[in-house]
Amino acid sequence: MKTRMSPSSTGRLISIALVLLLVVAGAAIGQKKFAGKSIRVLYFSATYADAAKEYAKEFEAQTGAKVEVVDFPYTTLYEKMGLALSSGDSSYDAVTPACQWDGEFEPFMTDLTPYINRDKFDSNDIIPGLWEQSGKWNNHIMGIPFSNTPQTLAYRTDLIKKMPTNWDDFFALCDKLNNPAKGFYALAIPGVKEQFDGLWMMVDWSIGGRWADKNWNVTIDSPETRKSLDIAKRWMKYADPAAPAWGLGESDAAFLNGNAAIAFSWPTLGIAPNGDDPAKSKVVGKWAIGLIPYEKNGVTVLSSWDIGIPKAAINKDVAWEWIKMYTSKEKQLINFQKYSILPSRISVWALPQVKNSKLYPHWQASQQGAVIWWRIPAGTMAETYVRDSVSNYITDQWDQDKAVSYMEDGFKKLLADYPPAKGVLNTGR
Amino acid sequence: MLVTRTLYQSRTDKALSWVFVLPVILILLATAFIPLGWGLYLSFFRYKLNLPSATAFIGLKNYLDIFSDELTLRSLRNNAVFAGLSVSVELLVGIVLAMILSDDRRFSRVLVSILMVPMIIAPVVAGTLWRMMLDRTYGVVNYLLSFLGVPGISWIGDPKIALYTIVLVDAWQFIPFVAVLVLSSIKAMPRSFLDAARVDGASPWKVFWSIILPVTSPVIIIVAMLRFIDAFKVFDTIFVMTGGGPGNATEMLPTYIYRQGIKFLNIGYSSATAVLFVILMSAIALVFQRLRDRQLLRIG
Repeated sequence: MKTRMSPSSTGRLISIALVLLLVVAGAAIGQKKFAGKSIRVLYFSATYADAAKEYAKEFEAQTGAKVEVVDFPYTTLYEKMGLALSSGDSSYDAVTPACQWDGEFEPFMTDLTPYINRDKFDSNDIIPGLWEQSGKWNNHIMGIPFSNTPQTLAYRTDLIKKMPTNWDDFFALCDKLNNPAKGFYALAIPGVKEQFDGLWMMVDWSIGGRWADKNWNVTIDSPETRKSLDIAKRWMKYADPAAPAWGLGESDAAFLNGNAAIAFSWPTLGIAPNGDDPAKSKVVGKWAIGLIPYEKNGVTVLSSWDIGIPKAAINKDVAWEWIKMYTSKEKQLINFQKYSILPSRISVWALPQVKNSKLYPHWQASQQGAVIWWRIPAGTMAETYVRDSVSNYITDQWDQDKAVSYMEDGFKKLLADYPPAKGVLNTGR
Repeated sequence: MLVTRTLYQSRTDKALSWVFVLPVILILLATAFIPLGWGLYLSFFRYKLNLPSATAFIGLKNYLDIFSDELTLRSLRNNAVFAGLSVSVELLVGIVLAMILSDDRRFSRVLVSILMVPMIIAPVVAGTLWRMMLDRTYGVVNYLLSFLGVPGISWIGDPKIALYTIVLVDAWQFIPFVAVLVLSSIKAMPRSFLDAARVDGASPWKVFWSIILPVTSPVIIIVAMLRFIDAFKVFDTIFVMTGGGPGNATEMLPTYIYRQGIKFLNIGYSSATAVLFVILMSAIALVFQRLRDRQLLRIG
């Protein structure tokens, strides 16, 4: 004999089912979009990584995705990134190449154009011209630039009323300020070759020199190259004798300790974050940012970093959300105020907190013109020819003819072995 | 029947010995021979890891480029000078130190323990420490020398002396290594040799020159070989102290190969340089081995 369920049992079952449904729905509503996912992002070990580490918790709270920030010093970042990208390693979901590496790494990076179009990323807010030098290559958008740092200098405002704008006046000022007997030098310079070559470049370009013309014909052997080598060598007469062995840290420390009047540096990395901290600086309130003297144009060296997604990345959507957050207007303002990271957005540069800051002269330097050297795959090797050549010349190991011919022969060999892709012009120097 | 058993045993022994040696062969194959062979193969190509489209077979061009590349030759010259000088200093001071420590006083045993400290510091740490101490303006070495009236020396900033500075740092770190090994060889010598010499009225110098040095020479030669090869492989100290600078004054082959292979991802060229490096090291090891064999024959 069949038995039917009593009305009370049926009702109980329905109630339980409804409650379960409500619980599941509630859980789904509370669950974040990328809960359970994680990304690993690769940064340069400086203020950029520090900012990223600060935002990681906030990003997780907003999206549910965990962020692991990995950072390396500049000297090793290129090879870590290069090896990971070229071997198809999926360790990183987002990487931050320096703009000079874009040409080498672009084949291994995701084109961000579909993401930009889908989410209507405010591309017009990026400084015009910057994206062309940092993040765009070969008609692809491989990264969003998040920093825009033209090379400048820092100087003592208690000793120098106004920075000279040409090299003759500059050296006249150095003659006046230099006092080695009292352990005070006109210049604090990072003499190690990986820093010094950039200093030489900015002089060479600012007096009209070029490594090659726009069609890649090598033009390094020029009066401008020779004059800029002499200027660079002359600097060393006004620098601490220990300078040839100094890195950026030691050079900045000499300036912050009050032992130099002018620091050739990337001030945003060491001087700006510490210059007005009495615990770390003896020049509190006595420093400012100045532009590099020039003769023909105000072109200086650009340091810009962009952030993109490797083709081998696993969590590309999450990585894109991270990129949008890190490059947002809000975060670029925090990056500027807390970490001295110069923004890539026009709207952030226009904010009063930025316009009235000590770092605002960088905007002027940027407007005058900041360029990077060759972004082609052979660019890193080309830079090394410059490094060796300039370093050997200023330490009197090579004469000028040898230094120039070494660069010229090296560039020609590189361009022959690894020619730029068809249609790619030299938009740098 | 006896002959058959002996033959059988002999074959079994041979087979067993191959079985025991096989794991080592397999490991060496996987970690040494195959990578070396692959490196040799790559050395005949123009091959940049991040530009696979530019890969091309170029035969011996990489090798020819090495001999016309000024920087490679300079690196090799720097390496040879560094290895020659540092090993000479380490041997000289190490042997003297070993002689001083060869008595059995408690003081000697304590001193040996203290002397081991530089040896156990990682080269990267040692290089970083010395880089700070040798700074021309802020370093403690120049500060102490100033009390003797010595003006500031640009130890790692002057290209004329940077290489010799690295030699001193390397010697500081590895003199204890030489001293300890030579000391153990001295202690392993039969006492009767020394006692007999003393009874015959030999002076301490004669005892050292005619007995101790010849008897310990096979060990000294091996130590020299090990140090020479290690000195040629120097990387960490150079990387952190000078980066190969000023200019290329302290560039060594390993740092140069690293630059080509890891920084530039120029695999073909760096493989060729590495192959030549291996051949050079093998030749050096062979020379020392022959020297040692000859010395062993001499001392019977």
